[in-house]
Order: sequence, then C-alpha cells, then structure tokens
Amino acid sequence: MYSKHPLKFSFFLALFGILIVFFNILPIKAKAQAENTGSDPLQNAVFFGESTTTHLRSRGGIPADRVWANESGTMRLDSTLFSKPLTDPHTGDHISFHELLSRTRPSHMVLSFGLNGIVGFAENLNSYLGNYRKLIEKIQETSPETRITVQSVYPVAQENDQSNWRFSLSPKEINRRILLLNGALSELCETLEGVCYVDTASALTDSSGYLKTEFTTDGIHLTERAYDEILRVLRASISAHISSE
Amino acid sequence: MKNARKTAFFLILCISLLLCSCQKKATYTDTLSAAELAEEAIDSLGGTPLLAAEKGYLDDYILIPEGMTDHEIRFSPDGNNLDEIGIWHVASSDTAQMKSLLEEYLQRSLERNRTFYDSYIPQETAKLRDAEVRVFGNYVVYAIMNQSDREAFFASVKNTLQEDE
Repeated sequence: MYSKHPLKFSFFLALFGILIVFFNILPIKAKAQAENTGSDPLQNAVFFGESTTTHLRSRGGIPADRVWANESGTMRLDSTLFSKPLTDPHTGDHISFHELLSRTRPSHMVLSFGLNGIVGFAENLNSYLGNYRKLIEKIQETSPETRITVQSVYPVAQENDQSNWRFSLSPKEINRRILLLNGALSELCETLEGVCYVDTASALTDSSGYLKTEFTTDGIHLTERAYDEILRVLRASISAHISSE
Repeated sequence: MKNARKTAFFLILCISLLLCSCQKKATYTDTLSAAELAEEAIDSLGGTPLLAAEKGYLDDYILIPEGMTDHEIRFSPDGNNLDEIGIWHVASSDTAQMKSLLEEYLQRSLERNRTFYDSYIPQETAKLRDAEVRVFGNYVVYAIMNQSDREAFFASVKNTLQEDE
C-alpha cells in the first residue's frame, strides 16, 4: 500500500513531523513572549557590584553582557569607584563606569555593594552611604529612565564554614556590621525617589545570623542555589514594587 | 698630642664645610602643571599607560584644602595591580602640609583596605605598605609601586623637573 502512494505517505510523514516540532517549540515561544511582555522583572536588568555579582554570570545564569565588573571582579564602593575601569561586556574595552553607563543606558540596574571594605564602611557609615547616594545620583543623571534596585549586603558564614578567612574581625562581628549597613541602606533608599531596596540577605541567613552553609562555597561566595534564591526574592520584591507604583 | 688632635678635628670640620658649600642645591622648575609632569615622568618609564583618576578620588580618605587643586592621580588599569601615582603642584609654603596629607592617605588606605587586598591580591599589599611621598621643589609626589618601579618613577620626576645650572 505504501509503495503505491509514496507521495501521500511522505506528505503525511512530513506534516506529522512539522506538527511535532511546532508543538514542542510552542511552549518555549510562549515563555519567551511572556518574558518580552515584561512578566520577568529582571529580564533586562544589569547587575553591578562586587565578586558575588560577578559570579552571577557563572552560577546565576545571568548573561555576561548584563553583569558589570572590572577584570578582577573586585569592585569596592569608595571614592575611587568612579575612576576604576570596568570591562565593557560588548566590546571588551576598559572604560569608566560613567562611560559604560552613557553607552548602555540600561532599563534596570541592580546594585550590590558593601562587603568589600566592610570594616572601614561600618566605621565610616556616612561615607559609605554618601558614595551609594552618589552612585545612584550618577545613574539618575546619566540615564534618568533606568529603574534602580539596591540589594542588601549578604551575610558571611560562621567560622567553621570559612575556608580562607582573612578579615581582622570575626564572622559574628562582620555580620553585626553588615546588619548595621543594611539598616542604613534601607533607610537611605526610602529617601530616594524611585529606588527600590530589596532584602535578599534574609533569605540566605540562618537563625543565628550567619550565611547558611548550603549557600556558600567558601564562607563568603555563593552557590547556584543561593543565586536561585536571590533572583527569586528579587523578582518577587521588584514585581510587588512595580505593582504598588 | 692634644694640640694635634684639636688641629686634625678643626681641619676635618673645615674640609666638611667646604665640601658642603661646594655641593649644588637641586633646583626644580615650577612651570609644569601636575598633569604635564605626570605625562612626562610616566612616558619616560614606558610600560602600560596609567589611567587618570576622576575628581574626588581621595575624598574618602583625606580632605584636600581649597586652593590645592592642581593635581594628577594615575593608576593601573588592571584591577589586580595597585600601581598608583599622585602629583600635587602647590605653593612652596604648602608642600609640608601636602606631604603630610598624602602620607595620611596612604596610611588610611592601608588600614582600611589591607584585609580586602590580602584576600584578593595579597602580593600587592606590600606596594601600599611601602608607598612613599617625596617633595621636589613645589611638587609633592607619591608612588604606590614596587621598590624598583618606585625609584625609577621618582628618578624620572626628578629628571623632568631638575633645572640645569
């Protein structure tokens, strides 16, 4: 029978194949369309921060062109930040933050600074907050349409989970200072128009105030699971913030 | 014997004074801006060009008095390299104050950032610990570099500024 109608058979086979491919692609396409319509509040967000931000590329699934960092991934929010070169993820050029911001003008930026320099920051809280304010103002001046989200500083793990502890203070004291910074940061964001503060740290913290063991690779840096959690909290909080506007 | 000793001592003193008076006192030009001096001194060293810092680079560390505005700070574009130089061109009456301020910057930077640098770039911390401030006429200059680079940089600054007599 098949040999009598070879054309018909191959036609139906091809049609069948097309239908299978179509129905397999459809859900992916639908998801992509949903994202394009803005259902993912982090869809176009650019992340700017310290090494825990840099690792979003490798452990958080965020494309490299949406993670702003310097060569070593060790940004620090002090008065030198605006001079230090960043690597333009599109061209590989080493350019200043201001230049990269002017070139890119992202629709959304998620900032995360505080652990690098924590010892000095807690002792000079006004200077730390002043630099955060300056950073936010620079973004608002250069790219007024950019939505700004400020993340809390993540805690560090307890001593037993630290593989290479170099701070002059204990993890307990560092976490006490981080709490201080987060409180002040939250208050600062309340005073700044259009800036959303998101407490991602709580989701990573155990009942004693330390970074949960399962969320860290070395006591400070984060695992893929931690990034899943951070991105989940960010999405939920930003969506709620957008809805309340 | 006693008289011979006295005579010898007197003679040595006279010769020393004579040698001191013969020594030429270094004189430095005052016509270059801090940026021009940085450009010339760094150019003559070769190597990777250093980037110029934006205004307010030292704000977290020291308060520079108004009027001491002519300055240039340059640093390595490599985030893993702490190389940095700074030049202030000030009035002769302000050099001592500026030197003291820059020493304070280096000290504070070490105190605040040592842990951070020790964690990520421990091989670089010594550059900051051994950093120096020197004065050449009306120019106050600091260098955060390893010893050989630092000496070469200061020598280059001196050569650029030194006037022929």
